[in-house]
Amino acid sequence: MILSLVTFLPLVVGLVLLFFKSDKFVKIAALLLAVAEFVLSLALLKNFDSTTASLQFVEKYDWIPQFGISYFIGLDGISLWLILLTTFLTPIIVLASWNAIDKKIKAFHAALFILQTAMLGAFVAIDSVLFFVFWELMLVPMFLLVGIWGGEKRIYAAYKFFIYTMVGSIFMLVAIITLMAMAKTQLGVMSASLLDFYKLQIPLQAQHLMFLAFALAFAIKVPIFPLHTWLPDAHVQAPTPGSVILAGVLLKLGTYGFIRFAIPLFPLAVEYFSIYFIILGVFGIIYGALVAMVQPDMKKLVAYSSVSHLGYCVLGIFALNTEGVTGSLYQMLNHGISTGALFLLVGMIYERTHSREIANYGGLAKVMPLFAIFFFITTLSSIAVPGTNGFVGEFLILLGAFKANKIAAALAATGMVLGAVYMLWMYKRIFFGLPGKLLTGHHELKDLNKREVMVLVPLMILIFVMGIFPNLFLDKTKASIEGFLKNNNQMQVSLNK
Amino acid sequence: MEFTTLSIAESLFLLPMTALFLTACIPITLKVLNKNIEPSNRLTLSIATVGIIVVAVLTKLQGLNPSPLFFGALIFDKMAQEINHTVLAITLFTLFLSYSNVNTKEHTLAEHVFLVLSSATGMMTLASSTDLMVTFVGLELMSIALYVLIALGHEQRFSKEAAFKYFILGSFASAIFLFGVSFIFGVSGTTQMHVIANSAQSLLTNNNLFIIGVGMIIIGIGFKVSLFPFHAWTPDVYQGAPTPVSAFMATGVKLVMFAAFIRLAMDNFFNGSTKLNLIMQILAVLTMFAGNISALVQENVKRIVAYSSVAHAGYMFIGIIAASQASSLDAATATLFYVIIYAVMNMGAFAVISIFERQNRDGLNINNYAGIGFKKPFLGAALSIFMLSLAGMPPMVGFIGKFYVFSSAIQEGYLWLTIFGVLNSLVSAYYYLRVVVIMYMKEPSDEEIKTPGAWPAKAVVAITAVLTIIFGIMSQAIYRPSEKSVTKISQK
Repeated sequence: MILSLVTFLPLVVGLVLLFFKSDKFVKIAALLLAVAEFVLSLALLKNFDSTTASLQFVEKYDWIPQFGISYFIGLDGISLWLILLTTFLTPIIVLASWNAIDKKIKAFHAALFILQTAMLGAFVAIDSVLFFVFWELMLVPMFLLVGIWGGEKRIYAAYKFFIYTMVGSIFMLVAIITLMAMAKTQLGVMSASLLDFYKLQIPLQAQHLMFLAFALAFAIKVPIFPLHTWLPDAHVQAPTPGSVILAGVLLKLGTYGFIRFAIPLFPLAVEYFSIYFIILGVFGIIYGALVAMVQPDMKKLVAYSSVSHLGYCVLGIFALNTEGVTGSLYQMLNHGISTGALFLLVGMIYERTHSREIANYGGLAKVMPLFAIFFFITTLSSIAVPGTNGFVGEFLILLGAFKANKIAAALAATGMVLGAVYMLWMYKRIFFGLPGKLLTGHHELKDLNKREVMVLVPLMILIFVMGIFPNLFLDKTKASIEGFLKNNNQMQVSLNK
Repeated sequence: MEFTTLSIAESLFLLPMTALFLTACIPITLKVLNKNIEPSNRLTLSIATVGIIVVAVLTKLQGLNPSPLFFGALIFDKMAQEINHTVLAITLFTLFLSYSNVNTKEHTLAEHVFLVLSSATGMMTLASSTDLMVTFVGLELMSIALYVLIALGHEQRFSKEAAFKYFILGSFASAIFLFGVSFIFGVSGTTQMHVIANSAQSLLTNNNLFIIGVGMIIIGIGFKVSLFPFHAWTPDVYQGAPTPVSAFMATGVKLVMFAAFIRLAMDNFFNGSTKLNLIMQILAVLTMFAGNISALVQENVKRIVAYSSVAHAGYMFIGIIAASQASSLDAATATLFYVIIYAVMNMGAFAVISIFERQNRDGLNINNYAGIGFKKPFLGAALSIFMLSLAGMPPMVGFIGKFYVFSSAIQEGYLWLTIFGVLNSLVSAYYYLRVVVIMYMKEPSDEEIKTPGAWPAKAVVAITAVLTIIFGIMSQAIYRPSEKSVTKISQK
């Protein structure tokens, strides 16, 4: 019951908020309810049993019985943290959009909360059709967030986001239906449950095709090079809250989808294709970093750094060993926090100056010292300095990658250097040196106010907590990740015979 | 019940249709008796509403009869009942729209009601028909009323042109249909579908005349449901006709004509010839592409919805193809489901369009919708729901409908057809989203939008919008009855 409550509370909140008149009331209510939702999701963490790899908080009711589709949700160590990440980021986003969103405030919060339900639902769904429903449900609110509250070319970016994602998902739908039909012939009853799909004996060729269908959907979402082109557009045009949620959670659904669906369902195809994904992952790391380096626009730089960071996630997942997958999961959380924080920071400075050109800045550290400190901590996390969360994730991934493929790991390690280059160089250009064009001009820049500090502090705390005590988090995921890898190996062995 | 001669008990089954026709006559008789002075619109609408509800109750009360009556011409089974109820709901909603629409509400509502209800009588005949000749009669009864209805709009040029176009082409299609029936009669010696069903499979494999006959029947029905390449009239006629009539055609006509397709599929009419099957597949794919690609470049909302209705005929036809293979009941159920839910969401879309329509076909350009989403939050949200549902986005019912049709197609082995189907969904997403984009993301004009006296149309919008979501979440509510209603008459 609690899992359904956590999943659907935001949807109800979002719809109810539409009926209130006062914008101020809506903002306050949204903030309180988002915090309440986070507290509620902590109950999941408290009652989570970290010794087992099996699903917990399971709820299963028939939905469309003649097709074997059920309302089947559950949680394991892999989805647990992603859910908490989602519920943790939402109140921060609400608080961050306090002044940044100045029109259609009710509609904004409704879209945000509906999006939250869609993301949570996609993380907890065990039934493939239910997953697909939530997966598609994410599109419309995000489309509206970019299209209504976005920048100048927002409509173009919104279309691009929508169409790209849909290209992937339609083939996934065909694959899901095919799997359901297979379940009917092999198991006797039609079923859309993932657990039933795991039991299927899928012929090699079908595995290849269906893996590609699923992988396309997830690869676009991650995004893996060369399917990433929608991301910079969406990020740059989206309003700050939209960027945070996009980078923080939405992209994780792609990597999560690989772990939950594409890899365990088609072990033979994974055996065949994993090297290509490792190559694409490594390429993404380096390519994203190089492109980020030359961006004149801060937000675009952060967007391309996302491509690079998520390359690590892909590399870790397809290393297919405990270190790699664990690191990858950790990296997903890190990226949600550090890139989320970066987007928030960029948004805060943009609110003051209405410029994101790096060249317009300089010497900002003197004018906005507090801002400079927060920005610096986030930069450290983003370039994976030991002691911050980023280090744990990338280190584990590289460890896993070395076991799987030494060349890939060596190349990926250069990405860490490049990451330091583009982040620190940006930091230098913005904060040090002579005051830039914008600062010599007329207006005085104010340092962060209390609300903005409140937005950033939780993220800063997490950066260090996750960096210094990773086991707090990894303990919960250990059993699930080992279970995931064991199943996968067993299935490969049994199918290869 | 077997009847050898026409008995009273048997005749009673005609009561609902008769009652509907009588209802149709009341307002217009009042008008004639009252020296051609129109009875008030409210009175006309009330009479029609009461009449339709009575007919719906009668349809329910008269019970079912699983074997054909009237010497094998009409059947009153569960499917006929389900379709009749849907037709009646569509008719009622259409009249609600007519009551509020600028193009229909002023002088001629009595005639309008008469024609809509007569056409609905024809639709009810079609839903029950088990004989190709009766199908033809129903088809003509339905169509002739429609020809006049299209021409009845106050607006002069487009409406008359559309009526003439539809009349000429429709007559051609009917003639081809009849020609096909004569071929089939010549080969099999009967026009009763459930009798032909027993020999259809072997005739399809070795008798070319029979295949030609079936092909002509597909053309005849395909014209009415706007299958490619018989779809060219659709945008012009939907645009030219008064909006409520377009709504009636897009929902009602499609519903009953696809019901006829389902009955033919269940009677093995498309089962046995690989050539015919291939042609049908090609038609389905081309229909989807023709509809969706043309819709991309339209500026008039009615034309967008018209081309979208062409595309949807393609999706439904996939269901018919899947159903024709070995007369799959699942696929037939999926198709019936799709046609019904399509009627719900499309009716809603037309209702919104009808509310925003202005005198002299103003307010129909897509740019007139700029900023409407925030100016008229209720109508804007409803239109978004319909558009997203038509695009097949969950959790709206349009997704479930496509899911059922595509999964039945995959189960029957039509993977390629399904892939074309989902690709088309992708194409269609663009123009459905375009409506949403213009409503929410474009700067509104300063002009104030008033929708006076549109409460019946708004009621239609509210009902269909709620149903679009509820049926999406609880699709069983329609699937279960549809599952029971689709049967093979020939095996009884």
